[in-house]
Amino acid sequence: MELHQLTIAQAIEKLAKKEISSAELTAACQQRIQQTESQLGSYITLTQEAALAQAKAVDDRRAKGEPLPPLAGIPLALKDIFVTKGVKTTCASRILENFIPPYDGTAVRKLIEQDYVLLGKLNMDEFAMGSSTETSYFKKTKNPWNLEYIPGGSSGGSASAVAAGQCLGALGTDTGGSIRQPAALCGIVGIKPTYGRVSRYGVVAFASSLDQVGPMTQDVRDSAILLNTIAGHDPLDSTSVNRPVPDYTQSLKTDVKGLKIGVPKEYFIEGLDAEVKKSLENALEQYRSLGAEIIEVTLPHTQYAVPTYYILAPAEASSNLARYDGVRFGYRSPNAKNLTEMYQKSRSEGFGPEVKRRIMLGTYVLSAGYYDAYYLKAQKVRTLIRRDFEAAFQQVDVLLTPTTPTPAFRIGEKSDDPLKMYLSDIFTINVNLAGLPGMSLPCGLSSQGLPIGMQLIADYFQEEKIFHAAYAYEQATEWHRKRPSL
Amino acid sequence: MIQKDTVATIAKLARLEFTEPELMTFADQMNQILGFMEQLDGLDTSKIEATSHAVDIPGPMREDRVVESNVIESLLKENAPDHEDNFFRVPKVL
Repeated sequence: MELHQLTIAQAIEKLAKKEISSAELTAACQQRIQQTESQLGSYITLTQEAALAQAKAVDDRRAKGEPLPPLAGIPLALKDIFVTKGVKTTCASRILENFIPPYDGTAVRKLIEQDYVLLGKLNMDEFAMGSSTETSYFKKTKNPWNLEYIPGGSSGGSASAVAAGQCLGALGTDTGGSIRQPAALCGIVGIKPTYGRVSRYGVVAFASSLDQVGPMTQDVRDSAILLNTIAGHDPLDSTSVNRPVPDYTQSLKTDVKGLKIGVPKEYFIEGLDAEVKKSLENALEQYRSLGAEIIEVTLPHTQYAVPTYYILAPAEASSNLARYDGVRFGYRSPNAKNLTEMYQKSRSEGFGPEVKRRIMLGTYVLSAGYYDAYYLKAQKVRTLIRRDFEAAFQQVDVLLTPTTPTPAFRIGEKSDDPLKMYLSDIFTINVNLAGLPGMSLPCGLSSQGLPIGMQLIADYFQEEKIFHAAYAYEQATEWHRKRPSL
Repeated sequence: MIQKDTVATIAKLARLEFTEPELMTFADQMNQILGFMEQLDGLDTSKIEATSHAVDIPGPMREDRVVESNVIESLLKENAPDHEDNFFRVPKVL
């Protein structure tokens, strides 16, 4: 096995035993990036020299016998939505093309405290608005399993890089499925923790009542290792919740006898791809044979999630994105004669079409006379969606659903039809609306060789149940070992 | 149905500029998307409370203390499009 193919857990062990050095591991990832990046386009910024210097510094300390934290010398990468001190943070937008943050966000700071190695910043949909990474101002990222297909979005660069071995793991963000959907389409593991579990301080805001940070990794154990590191209360994010963080690796057990798995019937609808359906049925059979109990449940308001989300998320986005005005940071148009023109031209030249569409939608649904009909209505439906889940978790430990209705689609296939694109989030956005934790993990390959993912959802702050159920399935199957032949 | 004029008004509120053809495209797309949202109208929500945040967290309080931020120089020199002394410079307001 080549070094860039190691999981985080394997690399931690080899580094501790001094079988490999962090410099070798980092160089192996960088070489892999060099070999594959022209085809994949996963990265916006590479921090090559700083990465090697950091790796060597960790190696020196290890050689001296200094005690090191678990992630010391592990090469990871970040979605370009995480602000990184001194490293350009663009959010894949022209408006932040030259933004150099003066501080690190909390999740990043926690990785720095562990002496991790930052390989670079990963491509994404502009301001995380999209499901295919096609709305990036800089480039289109390809799916490593088939270069004619999208990697999913908005954390498409993260998913592509992890699947292709361009980094050992990555962080993404998930507002409506932006970790889980690309994880499913690239055949990796991605978890969106409970809203409030991970601090959002230093993460460029999209829709503040929905945004959450999470790991994207090759397998379930790595996911638990990274979540252990980034989870926890942060006084700098008033929505972060003050609850103890369990050691998620303690939940990685293979015995699921008596575990109650709910299957919401509303997710097995018309439009669900036959191969995705078959993979989910196989997964249910697998769980049954492991001794879990499968129970059909109902989430009656499922069909209202997409319209609810596409009112609330753009409304919050239109407000959050008001800060990009060309005054203090980011792009300023050189073509303006007065202040109002400066606002208008900076924003019009700086934002791409999808971001503008969402700002327009959001401004409309919040405007006088429409607020009650759209925004307030959607907040009420959000209550109904949340109650559906609360009722289901009275009966079961976790819910199992497909992550996406189909495997990856072709580049360009949906980019001219916003509504069609929005519907590709149909199975993931309910989880954000309810604020629950959800994970996607690989459970099959289509006849065309594209990955299929399944989603495990648990009650608030019950990530341990997800890790338990996911690990048991993973260890009983081989899907997580499949890698694209790139 | 949203007309082109409404789209133009919204654009002005959002401080965005569009060409005529762009306004037409936006009007079409917004009508399609808003039409899709109409399915919510069928739900009776008269007795339902609104959810603004999924996890109910009371606004936390903290001591009002002065701390140093040390970011002014980096903000002005590395990021401000234009500045003078410790101020952001903008085009003429009036």
